[in-house]
Amino acid sequence: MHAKAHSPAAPAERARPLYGVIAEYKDVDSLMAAARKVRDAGYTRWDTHTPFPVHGIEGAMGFGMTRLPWFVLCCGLTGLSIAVLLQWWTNAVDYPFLISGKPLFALPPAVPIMFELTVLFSALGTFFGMWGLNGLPLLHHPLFEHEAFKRVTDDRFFLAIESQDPKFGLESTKALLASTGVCADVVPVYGNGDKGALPNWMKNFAIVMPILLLVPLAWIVTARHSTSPKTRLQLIPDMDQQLKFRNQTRNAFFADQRNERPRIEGTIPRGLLREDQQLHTGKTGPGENDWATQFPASIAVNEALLKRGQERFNITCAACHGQTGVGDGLVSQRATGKYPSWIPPISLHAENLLVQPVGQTFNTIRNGIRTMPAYSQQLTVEDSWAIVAYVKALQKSQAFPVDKLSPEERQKVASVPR
Amino acid sequence: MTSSAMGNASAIVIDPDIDPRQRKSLVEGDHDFTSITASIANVAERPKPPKAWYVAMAISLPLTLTLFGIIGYLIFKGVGIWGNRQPVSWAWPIVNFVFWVGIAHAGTLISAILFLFRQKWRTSINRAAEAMTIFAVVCAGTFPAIHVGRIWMEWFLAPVPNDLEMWPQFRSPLLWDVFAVSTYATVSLLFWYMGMVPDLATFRDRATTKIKKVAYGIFALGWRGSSRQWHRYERAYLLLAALAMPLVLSVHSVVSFDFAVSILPGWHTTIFPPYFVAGAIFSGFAMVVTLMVPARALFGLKHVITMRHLENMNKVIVATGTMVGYAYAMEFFIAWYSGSTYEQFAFINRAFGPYAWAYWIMVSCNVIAPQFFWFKKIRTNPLAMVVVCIFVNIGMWFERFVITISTLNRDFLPSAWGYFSPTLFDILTLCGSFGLFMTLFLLFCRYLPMVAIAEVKSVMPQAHPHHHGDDAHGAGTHSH
Amino acid sequence: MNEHHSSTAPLGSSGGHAPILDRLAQRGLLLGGAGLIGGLGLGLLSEGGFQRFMGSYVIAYAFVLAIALGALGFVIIQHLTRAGWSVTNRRIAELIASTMPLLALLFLPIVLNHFVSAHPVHPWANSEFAHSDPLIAKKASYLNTGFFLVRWAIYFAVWVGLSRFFLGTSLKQDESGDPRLTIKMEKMAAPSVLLFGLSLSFAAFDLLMSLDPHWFSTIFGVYYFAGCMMSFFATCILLGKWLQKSGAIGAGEITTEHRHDLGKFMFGFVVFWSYIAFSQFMLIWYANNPEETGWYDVRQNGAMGYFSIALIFIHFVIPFLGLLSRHVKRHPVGLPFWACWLLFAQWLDLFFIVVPSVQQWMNHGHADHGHGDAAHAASHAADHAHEVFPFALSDLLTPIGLAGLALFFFARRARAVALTPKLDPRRQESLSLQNI
Repeated sequence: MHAKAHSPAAPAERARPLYGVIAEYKDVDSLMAAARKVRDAGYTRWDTHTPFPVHGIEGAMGFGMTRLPWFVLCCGLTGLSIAVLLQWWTNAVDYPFLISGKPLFALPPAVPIMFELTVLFSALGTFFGMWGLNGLPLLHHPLFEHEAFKRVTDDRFFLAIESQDPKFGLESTKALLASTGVCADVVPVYGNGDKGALPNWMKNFAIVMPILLLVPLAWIVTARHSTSPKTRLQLIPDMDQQLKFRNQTRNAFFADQRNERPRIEGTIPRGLLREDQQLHTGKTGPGENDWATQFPASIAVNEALLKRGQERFNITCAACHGQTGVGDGLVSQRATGKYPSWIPPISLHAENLLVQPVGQTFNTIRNGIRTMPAYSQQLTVEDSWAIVAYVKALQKSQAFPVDKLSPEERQKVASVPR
Repeated sequence: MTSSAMGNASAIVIDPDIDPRQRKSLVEGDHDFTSITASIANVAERPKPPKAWYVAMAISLPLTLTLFGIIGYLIFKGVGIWGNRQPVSWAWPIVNFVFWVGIAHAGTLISAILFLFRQKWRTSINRAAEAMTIFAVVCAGTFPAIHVGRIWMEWFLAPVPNDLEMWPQFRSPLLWDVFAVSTYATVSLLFWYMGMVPDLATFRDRATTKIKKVAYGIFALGWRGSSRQWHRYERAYLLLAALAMPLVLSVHSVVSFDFAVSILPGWHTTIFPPYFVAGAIFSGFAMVVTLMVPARALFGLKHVITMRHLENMNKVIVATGTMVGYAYAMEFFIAWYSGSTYEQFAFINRAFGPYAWAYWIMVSCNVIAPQFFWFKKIRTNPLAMVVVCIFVNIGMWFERFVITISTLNRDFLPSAWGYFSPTLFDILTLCGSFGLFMTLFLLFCRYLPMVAIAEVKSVMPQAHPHHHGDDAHGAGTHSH
Repeated sequence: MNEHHSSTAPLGSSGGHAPILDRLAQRGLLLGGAGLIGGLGLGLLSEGGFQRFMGSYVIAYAFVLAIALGALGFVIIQHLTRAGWSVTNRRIAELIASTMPLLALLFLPIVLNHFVSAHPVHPWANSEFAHSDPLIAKKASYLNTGFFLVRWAIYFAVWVGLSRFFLGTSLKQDESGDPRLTIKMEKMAAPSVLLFGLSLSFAAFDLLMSLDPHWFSTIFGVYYFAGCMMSFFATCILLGKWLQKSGAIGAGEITTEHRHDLGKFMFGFVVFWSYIAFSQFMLIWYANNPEETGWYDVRQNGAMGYFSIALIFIHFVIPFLGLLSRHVKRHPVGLPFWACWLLFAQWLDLFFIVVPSVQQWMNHGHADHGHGDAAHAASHAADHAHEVFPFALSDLLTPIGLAGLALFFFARRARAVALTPKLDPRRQESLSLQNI
């Protein structure tokens, strides 16, 4: 019947290896009967092909349950563990911060994401696991060489036995299938060596596409290492351009077109009259080292000032200098070791600082020193002096001889946990 | 006694629609596998879609473009173009988000839950409903994505290591939302696509042009209908259904947490999770009915999407609508029972305050309208059911409006009370999202298998083998 | 009610099952008597005395009522959805639901307790005390013994009426095989489910939630419903298994496929319960509103805290993992084992709901805190409760007692009727059920 198809004489067919034989059926019942026959004949490498899942065919073909559920279970447990670890490590360990009084890590608010990731991983595992076990996607399959096989997705049922089966014999297998109520001839199917491979355009595409994809990447890499005087292209304004006048710019409103207005001669803006040099600069003379050794007259050094100074110090200074002033503030602790360029603040109890005039300490607070920034924008003049007073008290407290303390004070000091 | 009784009983004539002695066929008319394939594939294979398709496209495409335009303007200008103002700082964007997420529940519900309950009638509507799920998630996801204003900062939501050494705040329900909705979108997409692969193979094998063959062929992944593959495929489908079922519940529960974990009266109530889920199913089914009634007529699918399918969906609508009514009643009862002044005020304000009009629209559309489905005449009349379902959709949008806005507009501090009014951009964004949804749905109807062909075949009587023989399932064989 | 399903030899024929059920009735009565007497005796001897025993009684009552309500709900839903798979299991459910008249009778002690006791188990039932507590006084128009009685009369009218209707019509069909009776029941199912849902929710509020009259939760009705369905499916599996093993139900009438499906539902309601319980807990935990957190406070701290953690494992984690696999749900021993486990879990859940509230409100209305300061008294009692785990043996014995009485009633009702619907038009569909 199809003698030409498997004749050894035809050289063109030599390149096409025999895949197996295929039989076609019209309905489910005859397919099931055929499947039982093939199963009982002891074939192992064969399959049936149907337009929809036929229930009960597993038994007729004699294969068991898939292992897919176990794989999915593992995926689900992976997702669950990742969710727990992610939430715990990010929010309680690496970046701990309190929000609305909730614990850093607690189970109730962690459950939604635990659930979602479990389901997500399981679903991805199901989807990809199923295609993986099924050996799909596949660009081509020898059965697609058989023209009638197209109807497998429409209304026909097929049974194919592979030539790789140890029981396979072209004639005997064909005879077995022919006896099973087929609706068309049982025919051998030959693979097509070429069609299984990637077509050329796809190969070319696979080569060209990654190269093209590298272009934007390369562009970004170059851009990161080059400088340009040109203004950057701004697609989204992002409030960078605001309706305000910037320093040193032109303003057509004024005759001299200067945006920054000079002071009107003979006037001083409200609050900028700084008559008391000592109060505002910490100096008593014009020289570089004329530091005031006394508090200005308008600052009354009393307990209220020290309390105020303590409060301001703990807010403004303690972040770096630490509450005792030894330089162990939280910022410093976090930055030390993490940033090689970080210079920890010096201890406020260093020898030279103990004898520093109050005016110079005041100046350091107002104008900064070395890597310490100026705090004149954050602190009023009075508060700066209050901090100076507190720092002086702090220095005394740390260098105070124990035997001069009263017994009660000594007990109090001893009771402070270290 | 029994045999004569049986004889009498079988002689009784009953309306075949409700006769308990036999199940009505799910496919109407004299069809075989061949004609089923042909009639469904015809929707995509016919040279031109019906005229109404063009008309619908002519309406929805401009709306979509409007939406894109508004989004562009929003990104350029900022969220100030909307009506969100204190005290109502959560307004239409979240209302629209919750509305669309709700619509998105029907598809996976029909696919997964009805599958697990062996409700075979799901087979001819599940594909289109799943598609609606995906498109509704797209619409829903748009709103939180654009309402943040500076959308290029959105990667902050993902746990990406960054130079600020900062991580997202996992204790926030808004972040749970990100995970829930994106998981839902992913799983729905996988479910939809996986279900479609065998049908895409059908389209591939019927393709008449090279382009179609390649395009459908790539997405069909080389499917060849092998029974060993079908077996794993069905297991995987069952597993996905089992995973999707709690996922469906979780998504709207998590959305409800956005409101319910707060301490605002009217938002903080423990029934919110199941109540939101019931409402979501309710609105989703209403949307499916609204679209399937015209679609089945236009594309000639009345034999697979039968009146029985629509009637069943209407029954689900009346059931879930009643559950929603139960939740409204419980909220009111417990607000009174709690003895808490704030709780009581919140609900009195809802029903009789400045937004009373919205509240009563909600109640009449959501609780009263579906009650018409108690009558078989209305339940089985295509026009009547579409009217009721549109009312349901309006009502469900207003439900989210009432929850969000009637709680916020009067908070604990009377001096901060206010009244919310939407801007033109609010209204156009909502209309635009409908346009986007419709456009995607129309494209789907035209180019993809609108009904699950393989699944419909598997519920036809011809699909069932007539004897089982001696096939012990999986006995003494290898697993694979 | 499942302690003894191993000892009886099968009879072979499914016809004369009366002797088997007589034996079941006898055991039920024995168990019921022993449980009740033991429970009452030990309850009276325990620290809380009679008041504490009433706490045990509420657990027992809620336990048995849950199974009966679950059965009624199951029957209604099967008709509502025109289910075919469950037909041969439906009679068992109908018979369980028909224990409603007994449950109405067993409700009397709770009513009596309201009238007679100075410290009734529901603290609001003492009207003097109710008016002295400002929060309870606000809801006194709902929480008072008179209205409570009226409501429960309505609930029982609904439940007895519905269970009689569905069993009666189904039995009528056993005689005539008339398919129109199925249609009649299907039509009735839709309004029934409304009545069922509302009555169940309010019953849960009245019986359990109002044990702590300060606390409120909108989801509580759904919470109890989840327990009802789960414990019903467990009972249905066990009774079906026992009746089949002893020969009262034919071998082919209830198959592994049915049990597989019942097992799926039982598993489903384990998860559903967890979903509802978690929703309730998480929302209250997160909002941290003092109006609500008190209820969890007495359950989360002290000795009860370990118990509550155990509840999560016994009611969710362990049975979830145990029932996940298809093989377990089809296993002849595995499934009944988990059914027993879940009945225990349901008891544990009720203990968790009832006892801490009873302990907390035990000394309400005592003279030493005259008017209004109930919260103080409550916290005082709660402090005491923290120290020791509040278990009394009567909490365990009384439920066994009431379950035994219900079993007796069930068996007496079942001895005269067929145990599967003989002429249901969908019987064949049910018999040929196959799970994929």
